[in-house]
Amino acid sequence: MEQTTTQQVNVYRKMLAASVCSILMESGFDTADKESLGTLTEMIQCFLTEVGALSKSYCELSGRSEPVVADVILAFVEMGHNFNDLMVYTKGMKHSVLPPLQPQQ
Amino acid sequence: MAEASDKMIVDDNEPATFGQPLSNFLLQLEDYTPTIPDAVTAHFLRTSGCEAKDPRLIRLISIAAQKFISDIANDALQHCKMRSSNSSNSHGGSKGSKGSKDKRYCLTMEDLTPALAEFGITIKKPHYYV
Repeated sequence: MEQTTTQQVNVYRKMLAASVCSILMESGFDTADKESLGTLTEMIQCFLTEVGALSKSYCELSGRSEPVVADVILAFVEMGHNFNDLMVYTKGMKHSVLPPLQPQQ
Repeated sequence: MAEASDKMIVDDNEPATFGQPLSNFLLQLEDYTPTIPDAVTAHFLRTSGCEAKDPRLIRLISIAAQKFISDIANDALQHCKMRSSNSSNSHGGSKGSKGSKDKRYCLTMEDLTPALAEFGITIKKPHYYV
């Protein structure tokens, strides 16, 4: 059981690393060393986990059990990020999408 | 009382608050696929106890994370370009200008550290004992 959970976590980490690689390629980098890729992967994982934890806190503060967009926005504010120009970011350039997982034989 | 109602009117005319653009943006996320797969974001949200049912919410968080990394990467790329142009200038001559045409950029900790420092993030190598 422990083994299976660890393997699953590794798969998610790998997908996250692939996403980071994709973002780096979009930014104009051709290669990245292992150390910096690991740092960015760790950072994006921390970001997601932190947003999740803060959203949950805000949601439970309002007496709900399922987060709504207001909780996520408050989480962003709490983290000190200004994501007002997120729409510009998505519209500005075409972002690549990771290929869907192939079923293993 | 009249003063209070005046204040209310003034508040209504104020520009949109921080959350306003984001909640409008959320409505448009129905048919957008971010680089980070939904399942991956949902998994990491679940590890911190946040069970978001709305797929648009997960996408919003994915895009925010994507932009976070993208901003850092852009900053690191500027550092990388500046450093490489400086080093090619110091070596001087036609060789540097020729090489700059098909230059390949590699992300290293040397560029990432100052880029992250601008975001207020300090990274240090862990102690290494032989």
